[in-house]
Amino acid sequence: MTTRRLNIAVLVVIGLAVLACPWYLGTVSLRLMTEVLYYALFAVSLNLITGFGGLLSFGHAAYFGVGAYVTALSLLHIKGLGLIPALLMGGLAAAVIGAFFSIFLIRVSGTYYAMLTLAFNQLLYAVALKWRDVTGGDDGLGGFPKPPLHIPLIGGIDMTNTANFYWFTAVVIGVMLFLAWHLIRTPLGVSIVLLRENEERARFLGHRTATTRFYLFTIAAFLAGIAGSMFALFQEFVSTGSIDIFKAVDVILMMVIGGVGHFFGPMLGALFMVFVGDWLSRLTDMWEFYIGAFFIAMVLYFRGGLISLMLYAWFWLQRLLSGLLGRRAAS
Amino acid sequence: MAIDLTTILITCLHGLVYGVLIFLVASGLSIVFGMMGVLNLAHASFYMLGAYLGYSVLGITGNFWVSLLLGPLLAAAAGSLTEHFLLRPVHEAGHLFELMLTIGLSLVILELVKWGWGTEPLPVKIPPSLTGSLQILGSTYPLYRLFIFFFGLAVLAALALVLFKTNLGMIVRAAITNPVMVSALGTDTPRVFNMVFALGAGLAGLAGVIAGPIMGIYPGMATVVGMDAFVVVVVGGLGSLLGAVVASFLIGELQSFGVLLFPQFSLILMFFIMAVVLSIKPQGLFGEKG
Repeated sequence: MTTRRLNIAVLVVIGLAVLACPWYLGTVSLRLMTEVLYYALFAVSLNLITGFGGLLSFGHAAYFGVGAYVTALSLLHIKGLGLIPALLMGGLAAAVIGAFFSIFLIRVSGTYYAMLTLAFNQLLYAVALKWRDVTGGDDGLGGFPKPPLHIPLIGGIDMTNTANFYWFTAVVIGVMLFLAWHLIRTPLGVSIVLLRENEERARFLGHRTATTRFYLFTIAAFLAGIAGSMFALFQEFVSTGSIDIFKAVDVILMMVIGGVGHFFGPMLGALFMVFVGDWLSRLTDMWEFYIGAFFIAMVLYFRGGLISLMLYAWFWLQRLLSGLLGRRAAS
Repeated sequence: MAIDLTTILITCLHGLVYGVLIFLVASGLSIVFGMMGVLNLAHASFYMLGAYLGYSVLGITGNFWVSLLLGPLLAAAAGSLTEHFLLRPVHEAGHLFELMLTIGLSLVILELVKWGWGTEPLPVKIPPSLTGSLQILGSTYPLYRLFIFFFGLAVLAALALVLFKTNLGMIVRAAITNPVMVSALGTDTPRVFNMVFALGAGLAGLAGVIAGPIMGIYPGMATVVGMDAFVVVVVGGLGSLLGAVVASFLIGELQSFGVLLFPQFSLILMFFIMAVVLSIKPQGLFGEKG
């Protein structure tokens, strides 16, 4: 019980520290932190499929990209569209695409799943690249408005302000992360993990494996789409870079470096990739080499990722503390 | 644009030449997957590595034929080291981590290439003995492309000969069907795996060296050919050599005619075909494993 309370206390402290960022971070760091937030959601949504569902998606950028493009396009073409509707349109479009792809994805597993997700990702990438009239092709899409956030009784909040937009991002991502966290505690979430562990047994127990996977893929697509939408709103520019294979690889790196299979791991991975990536890229042109080498080292020697490293340290600290306290009580 | 018979013929030849090139990359990818169950997402990196190493050897020795020999050999050595020091330790952790490892590997090789040779495209000349062109049915065709085609066919024949007529080939084919049984019968399967992985990397490197003069050497070359090789392997069937041959020429022709007839849609069409095959028959047209 005390451990649970302690965990909640730690989460609250981290949450408050994240919300308080605009007061103690400079503009550059705050912008990086905004990136961390939506990449965290992106990586968490992939982790639902890979960590909890046991399938490696090699095309998760498809949903991120659809979210980004749809938000950008709807802001560009629908006059007076609000911030929240634009965000939701991105997420829902990704969910619709995700649901459609799921019809085919539920039939394959293992390497074939990775290949089919890759094929779908490349298919959408090819469309984004070639359908120049709509997507702008290589040039990308820019110049769409960033509408203010309208809250009843308070009025419009200017989103071009870095701190305001950061808080908006933090709240949106926080809600989405809570949804993802809640999902793995629902019967559906339990069923997802059961499928990863033993699909045959799950089927014998009467679980509809196809339906479970369908929901999993669709929900993960929605979350990735919201992350992509936030990306579009933040960058105010969307190009094929948001949907290409390198984006799909980036999110896998984040997830694995942070800790695949642990709910909080990918968030740590996003934090690591954005800040360490930024720091390294200012030191050396070869920063991606070091990230890649670090990633390989992780896969070879430390498959639990950064999060399990931190958890070891945390348990060790707890034992040390309780040992000290216990000795004092005894004396 | 009027499309006459000559254009069709030339386009068809271009497709065959490109088909041979992708086959060299895809065959290794396919056999390695069939044998070890590892989809090597870094496979095209060996194609790129072969091209760059061949370029350096050519720069040092000035002889195309030496680079044609050493480039693939060095790529094969890199493949052998990769298998031994990186893939083998991860094998017990399952295919998820193997896939992840190869992703990291492709990133690292790309960065090493950029670091070693720069990001600018490198100029490679067609070797003097293979410059010029031939007269075919009233039109001219570059000799070097014909060389690629016939050289590739010769490699294909040699590969088929080794795979179907030698003792080693028999072991490889048996290991594709049932690696555990082959190991139980006394074959040192880890060594065979290592050799096959190196062979695959070498074949990809070979494709890189011969493709250099016509397709250019630049850091993005692995992604372009790698994607085509994935499509080929998926369509032909993971683990099937025959499938790789058929699908390579199919994709080669599709790319070639696609650029001529419907440049807007050729890329989309290719991945559409890949998605359709995977959705309907995941094991591919000629694949045996489900």
